[in-house]
Amino acid sequence: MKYKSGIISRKILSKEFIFILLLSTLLCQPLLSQKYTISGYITDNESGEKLIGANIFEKYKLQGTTSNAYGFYSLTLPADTYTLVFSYLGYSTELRSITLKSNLTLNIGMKPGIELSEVEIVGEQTDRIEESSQMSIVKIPVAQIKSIPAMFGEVDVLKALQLLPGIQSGMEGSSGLYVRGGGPDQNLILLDGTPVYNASHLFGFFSVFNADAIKNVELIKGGFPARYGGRLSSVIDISMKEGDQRKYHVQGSLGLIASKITVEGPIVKDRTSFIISARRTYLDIIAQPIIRLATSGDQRITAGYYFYDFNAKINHRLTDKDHLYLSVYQGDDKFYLNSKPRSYLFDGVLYTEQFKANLGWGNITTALRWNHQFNHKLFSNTTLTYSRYQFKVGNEEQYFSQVGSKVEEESYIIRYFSGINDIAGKIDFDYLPSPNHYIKFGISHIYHSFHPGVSAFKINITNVVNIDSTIGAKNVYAHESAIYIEDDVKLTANLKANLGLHYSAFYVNNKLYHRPQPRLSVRYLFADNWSFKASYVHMQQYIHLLTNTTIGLPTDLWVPATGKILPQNSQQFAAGVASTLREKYSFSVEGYYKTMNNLIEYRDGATWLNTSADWQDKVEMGKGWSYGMEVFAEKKSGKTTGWIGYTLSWTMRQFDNINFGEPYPYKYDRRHDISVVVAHKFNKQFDIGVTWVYGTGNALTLPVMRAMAQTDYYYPGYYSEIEYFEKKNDFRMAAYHRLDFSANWNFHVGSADATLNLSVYNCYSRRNPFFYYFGYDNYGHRVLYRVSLFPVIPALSINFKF
Amino acid sequence: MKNISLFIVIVLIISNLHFSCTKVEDIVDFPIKDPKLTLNCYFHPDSVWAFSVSRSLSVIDNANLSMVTDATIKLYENNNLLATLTSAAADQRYYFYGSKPKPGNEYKIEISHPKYKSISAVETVPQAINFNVEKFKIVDSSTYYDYWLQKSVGTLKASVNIRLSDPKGEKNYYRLICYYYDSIYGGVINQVWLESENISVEKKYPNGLLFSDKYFDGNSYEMNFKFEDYSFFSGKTYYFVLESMNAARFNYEKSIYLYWDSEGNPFSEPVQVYNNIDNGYGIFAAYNSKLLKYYVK
Repeated sequence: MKYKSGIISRKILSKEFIFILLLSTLLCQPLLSQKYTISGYITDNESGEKLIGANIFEKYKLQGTTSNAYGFYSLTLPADTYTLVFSYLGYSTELRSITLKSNLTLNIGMKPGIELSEVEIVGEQTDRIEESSQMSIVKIPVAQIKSIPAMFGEVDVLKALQLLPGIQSGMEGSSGLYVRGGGPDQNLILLDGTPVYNASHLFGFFSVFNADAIKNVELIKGGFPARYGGRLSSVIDISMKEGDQRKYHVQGSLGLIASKITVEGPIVKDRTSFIISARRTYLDIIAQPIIRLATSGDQRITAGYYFYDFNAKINHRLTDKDHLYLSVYQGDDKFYLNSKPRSYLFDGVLYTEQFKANLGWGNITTALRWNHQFNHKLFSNTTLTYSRYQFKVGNEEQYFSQVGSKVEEESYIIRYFSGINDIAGKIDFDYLPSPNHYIKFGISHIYHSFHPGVSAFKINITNVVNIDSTIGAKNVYAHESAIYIEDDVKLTANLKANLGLHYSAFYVNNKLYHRPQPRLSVRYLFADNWSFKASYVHMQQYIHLLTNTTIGLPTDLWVPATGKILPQNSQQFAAGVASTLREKYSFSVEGYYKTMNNLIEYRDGATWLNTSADWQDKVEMGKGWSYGMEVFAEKKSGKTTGWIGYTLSWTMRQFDNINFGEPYPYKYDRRHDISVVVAHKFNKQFDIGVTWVYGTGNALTLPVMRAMAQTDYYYPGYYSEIEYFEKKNDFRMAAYHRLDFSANWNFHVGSADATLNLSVYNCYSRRNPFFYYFGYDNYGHRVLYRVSLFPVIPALSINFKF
Repeated sequence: MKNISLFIVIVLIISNLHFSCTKVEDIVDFPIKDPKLTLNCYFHPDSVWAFSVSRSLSVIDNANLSMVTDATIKLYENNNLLATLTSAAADQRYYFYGSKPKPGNEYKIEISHPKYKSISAVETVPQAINFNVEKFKIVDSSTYYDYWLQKSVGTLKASVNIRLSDPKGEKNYYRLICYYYDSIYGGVINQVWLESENISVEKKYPNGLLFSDKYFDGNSYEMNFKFEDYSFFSGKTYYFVLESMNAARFNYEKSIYLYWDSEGNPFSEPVQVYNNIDNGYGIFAAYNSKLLKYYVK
């Protein structure tokens, strides 16, 4: 019996045990699968600046995310204990152990720049090129931009981007960007979310971006995520600094042709900060004595050129969940030429004459942004922006004749004006429901005002004529709207994709254009540190830039798509492999093929100067295509950093009424493009930078033959000599190559840090072509001249910070 | 004047800038292309065959362009040899009087010379297209009495409609001109200014209205244009001429006028003048025409 009872007891115990076990499991199941979200902001521990694109991942499960453009991150994990790793290039890695039992706010301040042996910069190589689902994207730290040798010592953001594969400069000294065969209008240049329409000073020799005011630069040349639209070839997203929230700083530089100063600091510590930055050249001041010497007495003129940039930003934390930012930029270029009034007496009449001429262009951008964190998973950014670009040229001539008290005037005033204004609003949401999804969606609207070239004339001759008239294109107003959604999704352990849809519409002069634009990029990890990436994007652009192919001037006109001129669109396929090698080196090879439709170019014989003709009658519509391969190898950390980039590409255009309908090479079709950038830090006091660039020469249309042409067949014996341009762009300029060098000596002056910078632009004085023209030599023979602009140019500047 | 002033302003300003920049000019080796034969020939059913042959030179060759008067010209009609010409006349042109061009026939020309590569071209003479003046509405006429001429002279502005029947299934190109004989100055031909906003008309050409059948292929088409004569006098006879031509002459006319219009302007896009001569330069183009007299009282 006992035996039986024991058996029975064991049986009962087993069933009970199983039942309890099952019950426990069921009861515990909700606890085991419950997920919570950790969110917060990643900032610079010293200044409070938000860090964009910082990496956050769980150390053992390797699930992670990145901080967005405002430093916000969100990571949803099951309830458990974790070790979170926070890393960002140039900052020491932070570790946090947490037990996740509820949603958690965790803000991290990261300490900048570990330096081992006082010279070697070590950043955790967690920003691994093969990890991201996106391809064709480059982020250059501003510190790295500052280490690149610069012309006249002026560090330039856009010139640094030109050193990357797939991105070309236009001509000597130009800041223009030609990305994967696209034109200069196909780049969406954003400053704190506001488009900048002409990012060039001094005909493109410098860009409008003051590196001291910039925090982050990101360039996308393919695989565009759905949140971007409106341009075909690239997105250059530039973020301004917000201002140190803890301490005041002043930094600046004094250079040969320009100086700048930046002041930043807290208005209310850890709540409100500001940054103000200004830069101005003084070419006009330097040139004045020379011009005064050259022109004297009655012939005296004042003339000069200068440009300036002014950036200002206020950053205010309303609550822990709300931030406000207000940023403004204004910059102008101005040429002026004024004569001193000249008087002379002739035949009893006092004559006075004077003339003035000026040329100027400039941008104003303003952005007001509000970040709001709804909860741990949902973040929004609302932006209102205003952008204005305008170009003006004017000439005034005045002649007075006076007899006694009677004065007669003869004056001629001509003014030309063109420009574009945008007022825009947009709302963007970041939603992170789980580590496998990062969803972005939003909506935007832009109201464009186009002023595509107007000439105003005033002619006043006393008692004879008084003309005041304006000719040129009428202003055009248009609405552009867009809505998008994208998801960066982890499909499997090795497969990640960014899938999105961008849908935009454009309404102008009772004409509506709209198009859905799919976006797809995928990444497949194979081997430990290699990935294969591919992307397909469809892009639509509703505005065009009319640019003169003979000479690049700020006279280029921004014009909208109309009933006659269609929006341009493109499709781009790209594929490649990427890898991080030995934790220090990143390597990628990408191939791309891009087609573009509804491109516009000036017709044969057309000129921007002729404002009496409608611009639509001066252009042809056609297509283009570009394909190529880009190789990029980079070392991001250590005493020596830098990269090598190589691009092999072909870019063609075809217009039915240009080059007799035959395809021809694009002006900036550059078969080979090489850039080598190296920076080396010897010690804390001394570092150097070297760049070398090489590019196949630009294509040019030159006449090849002279021949007789019949003037008029009603008069058969009469002929004129004409020059034949056999094929468009069939002449190649000489190859472009250049070596630049810079050296920095760092020292202290009291409590201030100072750097003496020596830069040498074009070290071996290569005579790179600027333009060609036919002229005559000393023997009267007709020859082809090549004009080069910049020989070796050394420059000294001193930078300071306190 | 306005454009020139703006241009001068910009040149002055740019020059001022470059004054302070070091500029280096180098002479570049420019590939010198061999001279080629150049042919200029328009032919019409009512015209005598006349050929102008010259030689082209490299753009950096300073020598003068000159006529070639000892070339061998072979003219074929529908692949049959029509004429062989070996020397030019006193005016340095080659003439053939044996027959005239016929509508619908294909003509091929081959020109050879021991010093240059042979050139050739092919053209078909188009049919003449009938047209009529549907409307001639005087919009403005202001005259004064010229005592020397002893008649009223002045300005005549009119709105004119013509109608033409375009052949179907082929690309057709046209030019409409209007002229009159200036009897005061020994019968000189003067052209009347014509202008049209019609979508099919290529604008900006001083000699008449150049247009194609792109928008009215195969249809009867009525076109309106403005007519302005600044030497009008009562009882004047105008001659409207509708020329039908092929793509070669159409493209050549467009390009040559664009070329002259933009020549010397550094801000203009380069203009490629159309050329239908194989291995050479110039134009070998056929056209036909219909003439309509119009008397304005």
